[in-house]
Amino acid sequence: MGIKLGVFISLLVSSLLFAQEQTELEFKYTGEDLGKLQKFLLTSDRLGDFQLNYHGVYSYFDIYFDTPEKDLLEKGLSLRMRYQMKPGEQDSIRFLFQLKSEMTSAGGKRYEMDETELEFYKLQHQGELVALSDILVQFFSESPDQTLTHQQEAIVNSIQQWMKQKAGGPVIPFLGLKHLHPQLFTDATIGMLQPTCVGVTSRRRINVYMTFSEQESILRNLAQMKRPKSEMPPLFRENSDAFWLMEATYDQSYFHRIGANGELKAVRLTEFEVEQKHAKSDGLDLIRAFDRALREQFDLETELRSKYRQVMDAEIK
Amino acid sequence: MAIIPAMGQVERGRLLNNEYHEAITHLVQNERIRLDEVRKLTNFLRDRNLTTFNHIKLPKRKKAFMRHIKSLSEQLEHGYFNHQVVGSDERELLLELLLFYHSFLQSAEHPSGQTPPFLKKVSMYWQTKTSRRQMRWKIEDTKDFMRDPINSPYWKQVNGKKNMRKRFDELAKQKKIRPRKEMIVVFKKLSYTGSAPKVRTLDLDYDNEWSLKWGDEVHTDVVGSRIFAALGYDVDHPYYYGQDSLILVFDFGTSVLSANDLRDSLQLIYGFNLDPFISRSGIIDDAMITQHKKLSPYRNRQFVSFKKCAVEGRPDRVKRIGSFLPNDFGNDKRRELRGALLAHAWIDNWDVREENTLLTTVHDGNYHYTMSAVFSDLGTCMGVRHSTVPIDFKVGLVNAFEWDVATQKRGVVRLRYRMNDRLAPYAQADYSDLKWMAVKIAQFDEEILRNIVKKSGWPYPVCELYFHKLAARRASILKAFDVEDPHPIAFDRSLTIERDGEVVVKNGQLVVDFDRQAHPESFYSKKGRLRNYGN
Repeated sequence: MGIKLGVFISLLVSSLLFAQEQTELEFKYTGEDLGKLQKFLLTSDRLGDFQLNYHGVYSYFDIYFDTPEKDLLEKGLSLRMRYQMKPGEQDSIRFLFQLKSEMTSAGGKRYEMDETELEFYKLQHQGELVALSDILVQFFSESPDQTLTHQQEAIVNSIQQWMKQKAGGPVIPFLGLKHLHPQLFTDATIGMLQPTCVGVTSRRRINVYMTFSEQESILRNLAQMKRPKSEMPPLFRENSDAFWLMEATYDQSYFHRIGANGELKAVRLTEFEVEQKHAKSDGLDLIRAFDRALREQFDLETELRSKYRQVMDAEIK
Repeated sequence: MAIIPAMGQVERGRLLNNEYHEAITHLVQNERIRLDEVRKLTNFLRDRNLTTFNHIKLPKRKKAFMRHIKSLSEQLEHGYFNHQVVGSDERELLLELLLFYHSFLQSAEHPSGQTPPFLKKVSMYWQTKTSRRQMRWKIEDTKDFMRDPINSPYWKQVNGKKNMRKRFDELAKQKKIRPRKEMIVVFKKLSYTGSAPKVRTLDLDYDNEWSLKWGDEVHTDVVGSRIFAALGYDVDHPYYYGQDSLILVFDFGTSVLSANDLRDSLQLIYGFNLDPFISRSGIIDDAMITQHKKLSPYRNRQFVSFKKCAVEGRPDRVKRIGSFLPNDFGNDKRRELRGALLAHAWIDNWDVREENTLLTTVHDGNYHYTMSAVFSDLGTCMGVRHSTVPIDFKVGLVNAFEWDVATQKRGVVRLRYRMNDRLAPYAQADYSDLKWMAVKIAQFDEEILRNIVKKSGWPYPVCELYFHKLAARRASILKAFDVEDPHPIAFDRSLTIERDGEVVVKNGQLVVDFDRQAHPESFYSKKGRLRNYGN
């Protein structure tokens, strides 16, 4: 047959590599030049070999939870409920309940346990059975001032009741907490979770890509994530020449830290993040090349901290 | 509490025949749900951190499965926190949860497609050799055979000719499986399971996966699955593709980039020589794109098309969990599973192992997930031949597919049928169960049977011979079980067919290795997959 074992081994190895779960690489930045970078990203269509496509502003509404002793913060974890949407696009609405670990190095992996489809969860709120997703929308439809509004407090109480009820159940972030620190995070501790900060983020999103017609020699060795085309950004659904490499996001967040007496302290954050979107392959590290291209043009600092940690670390004047 | 039986488009049916089921008693106490026990199951099934169980690696928990469990869990927890008395709906949910739990564990212990261990092989061999002796039932004077089971995830009543004819396509539609007349698929990854050569591919929207297969099952699987679907079972969805009607594209960035890579991989994984099955290969150029506009994103990529192949739909909407647990949870008592023995016998399906049964979750939109039990891999049928020395195996040998399958003599019905495993429902099937199935088989008329056989892609003489044999086997079943034939189908045991002046079928036997160039696996040669079909 003339088949060499080496050929097979290389096929097997590469196929096993491709078979690995796709983990997302991400880089996060802060620094003086963020403003300049934002202007550049929104107006430019290219950074070195990379092409850019700014495709809109999304809104992210978050409530972070922790124990009264801030055990999650202490353990380098964050737990949030998120409602995200792009104004005017009904299909963009998503709800998430997420447990994440802090990043320990730039591009390092983070432990992440997501619960999606919060519509499934029903909780008692003011005598009615309401979907967790609906109650989150209701929560963020009001703007707090010095403290949470009465309605928001009532919602928080209902969510806390729900957490108590579900502490021992199959809610993915709770399972994650128990897995990471079984001694610390028991049903009782989870039942004590309370909101520590709430905030809204305006996220500008930019596709980072290359085209086959321009960069075939690089792209032919990369594995495109074969995700359903219906789930791809419009650019890649419509233009088969374009290869989605990364997603860059520019976040401007306005958070309120909730004090012991319920008083709110405002914290503003700005950060820039790049996340790899192609399947990992043979060491062609385009995200690092993009990182170098960014740093050549802008004065940026690496940020490892999650939004939660940044909010909790922020000095309040 | 949500009512389960008909959620969304896919009908689930009921698992329980009555309120009581021994398996779920530990999940209920004083007519209330035992939350602690239920959570042991739901937490285990939803906790991705748990990767082993009793030192056995657990399979990856698929998102849709996790959501299905979440849906079950939420309904049960709602019942618990509202102090509801456990009724039939709750019992349904509890049994469904329990079945998923055990099916998931079964798939960890016995992953499908793995080469059976030595002892299992011995048992399969022994069962194959001895099963004919076990296939005998005393005729009973009873009307019990008239009792239809209730619709369940395991079986649905299919009434009328029209519904029987459409059933396979209806199931495919519910699962959003959309085969095209001319298929273009993109190579996704190699497969390392099973004995039949196959690879995993994607449709051009990357929405759904298709398992692309070659060899002796490409016709038989199509027929077996359609017959089972018409009888009321859920099945895999294999489709036959003839000369150049399927194009496989090799996109950049995958481990296999050309027909040569594919040929080498299949040779090494399955010992299978793809060469005789290849029709064309090369680079996708402008001329090809003009002919197939959908190929435009793949300019300059390599492609290959085949003389023949089959694809099996693996839609995103359907997730396979593990076996449908035929031996446990009272499933051995299910008439629909016991009766399936006769359906297997009709098509002469040999590989009936538990691994070829599937419990699936079907997502039918709007957060609705429905459990369905699938008879999978029905391709080892329609004339099966085993050889111990040299070791080999072949299916779809029309001359090995006997004209009769059932006989009745001195008050005993016998089946001329061999299978490789004696699952509990088959071991316990009684005369009434089989006669119940015989009545279902009687509903096939000539048109339904012809349509199914036509979908196989067999060339005319082979197709015609199979049609006559299936009709004859059906008639033998009805006669043996004293079932009046509502639609007698004419068949000719002395069938003779000439093609281009050559006698191809003579006296009901294929007498030449018909069109070997176009059918490299051969309908005549006994050399099977382990001898590369003699190529």
